[in-house]
Amino acid sequence: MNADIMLKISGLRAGINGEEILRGIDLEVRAGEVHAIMGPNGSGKSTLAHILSGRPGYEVMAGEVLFQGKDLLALEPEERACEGIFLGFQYPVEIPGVNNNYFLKAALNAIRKYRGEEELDAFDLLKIMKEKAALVELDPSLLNRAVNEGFSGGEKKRNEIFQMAVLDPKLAILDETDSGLDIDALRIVAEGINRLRRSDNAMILITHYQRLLDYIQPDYVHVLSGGRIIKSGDSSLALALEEQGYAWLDTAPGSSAKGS
Amino acid sequence: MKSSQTVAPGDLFGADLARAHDELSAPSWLTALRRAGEARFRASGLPTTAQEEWRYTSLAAIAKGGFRWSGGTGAGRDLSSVAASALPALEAGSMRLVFVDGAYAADLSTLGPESGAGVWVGSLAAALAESPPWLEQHLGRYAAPDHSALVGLNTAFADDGALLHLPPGTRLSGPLHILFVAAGACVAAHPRVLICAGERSAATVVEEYRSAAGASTHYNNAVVEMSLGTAAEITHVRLVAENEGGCHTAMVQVRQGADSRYNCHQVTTGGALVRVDTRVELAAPGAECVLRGLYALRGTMHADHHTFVDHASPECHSDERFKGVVDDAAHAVFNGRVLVRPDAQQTVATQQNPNVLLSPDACVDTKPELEIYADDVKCEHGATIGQMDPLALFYLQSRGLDQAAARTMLIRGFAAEIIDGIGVPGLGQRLHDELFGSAPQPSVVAASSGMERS
Repeated sequence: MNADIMLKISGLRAGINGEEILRGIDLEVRAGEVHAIMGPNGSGKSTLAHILSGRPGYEVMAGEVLFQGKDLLALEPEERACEGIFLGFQYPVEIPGVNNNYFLKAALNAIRKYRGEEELDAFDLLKIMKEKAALVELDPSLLNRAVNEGFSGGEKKRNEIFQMAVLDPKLAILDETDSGLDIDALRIVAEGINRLRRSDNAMILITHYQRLLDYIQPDYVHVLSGGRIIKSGDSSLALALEEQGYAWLDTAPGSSAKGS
Repeated sequence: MKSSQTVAPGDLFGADLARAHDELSAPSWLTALRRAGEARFRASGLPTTAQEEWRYTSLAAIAKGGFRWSGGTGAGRDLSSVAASALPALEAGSMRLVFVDGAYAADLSTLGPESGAGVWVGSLAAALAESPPWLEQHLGRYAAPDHSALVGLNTAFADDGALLHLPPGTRLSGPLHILFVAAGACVAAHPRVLICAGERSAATVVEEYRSAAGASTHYNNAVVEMSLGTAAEITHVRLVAENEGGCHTAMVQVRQGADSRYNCHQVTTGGALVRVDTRVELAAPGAECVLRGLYALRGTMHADHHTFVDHASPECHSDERFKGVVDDAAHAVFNGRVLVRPDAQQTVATQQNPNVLLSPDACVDTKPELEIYADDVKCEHGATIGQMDPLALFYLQSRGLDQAAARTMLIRGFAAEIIDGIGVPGLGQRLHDELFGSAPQPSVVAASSGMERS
């Protein structure tokens, strides 16, 4: 096994309620890489994100997923988070009565505890929160509100990126982070993501449209259709999709999805 | 071995009632009240599930419990097992009245300077010795002896309890903590609270029920009477945290004058069997009441909250929100009655009762009852029973919290609206810690608790 590979998906077949949605996915992601997964509605993009993050209700029918050499699919959702996976939700969940700050402190310390690191005290946590809020241009007053409750669409997405900044995952899977954002909000969210991009972490951007990729240059673009990756390429593939839509790919033969 | 007493239904507490005749001395007006209460109780005995009001709540555990009255306030109690330092407290310097098995414990209590300034704070037993004129006017007037069988039973033993009398324009500088501690074995106590708030007076009262760590089964049958004068404002926090053998019935009867405001926060977290009736009479125009409640039940607890808001006058507002968290095989009952009388035009009344069930064996019976006889009113109500949102659970887990921590966080969030709304400094945090924190519930008893009791 190549030690450089952070995530390796092999022959993954999965679905929900007995219906197969992913019909054999192969994908490799290395540290420092940004992969964009594009595709029409119903192609299985969000299913892939949920399977990787461990959302209950989804079934894996075949294949395996290794994350840093570990069997990812055998882990509970929180264990995946502690191992370094982060899912940016397409529809961030409102949690009434739970303070944003309090929630994130508990999450960060749970992750640190799992990794055998010392839990941070209130002072250090506050410092991190302030610093990361500035990084993603999140209004600090939102930190003392209930998680996502009454947030605008843009604030919710920015809060996802803020959480990502605080939890500092190795692999972030951002599910339609651009959906529902106006152009200014999109720019701020994209800039936040760019600031978090490093040589020792990786990202999978799931998106329907190319416009997020105007701001974030991916290393690889994959087209998902009918539960399979039918084409992979560099960022120019996204531009071709923008111009021609997905229809021209339907008849194209599936090509290698190896991101190398 | 002690044989369990068999008591004919008609003679429940009969021996104790007879004892009360002999042992309780008092002014004649109080004796008359007690006799009226006794007659009311003897006429029907404990309520049964055949009565609609009691359909979901059986008092069999009380009828069969063998609970015995521990005697009047002069009977003397062994308080050695109750350590003052271990009692739950509000902020340092708060006034606190402590009652052990129904009797005032002066050594455990702290009175503030207010008691000199025309404000009367203290025990009923002490007040009876001085017999101020207002006492006879108010005691037993809002919750009259013939109000119900349980109020009758309480009144028959009326001897001690907490009193707060606020002359017009006075206000308590800090919250008054009234703590009822159950310490004995198989004791029946009949706590009584009387609050008379004069015009434009204001106070915050925290009424709390706790069981000492050594206490076994016990029964508290409380009556709280309250009268709010014009533009008076009373905040009343009621905490029921009896032990797993504790039975608790209570009648909270409030009469509100014009433009008065009654804020009630009830939190029920412990007791084998709990029934609380809260009745608020909006008796004059412009009165406003806010009722907030939280019941958090586990094990085989049964807790029944009945509320009755009586809009007897125009332009009154009532805003009621009781929330329930029910786990294991616990059973919660909520019944919210709102009556808008024909003259009560421009009433605004809302009532909400959201519940979360955490286990397949948990059970909630909820029933709103709106009776509206006026036409220019705004009334709304809603009750929901749901489960924990699996998507919210997944969201928290996806950030690294294990399932138990995520569940606790969600329940805490659900309860926070009520707990954080109490507004008594430090109390919200204590309740959060007791309900959700890793810290154990504070015990009110020293480690070596050797209870001795005849």
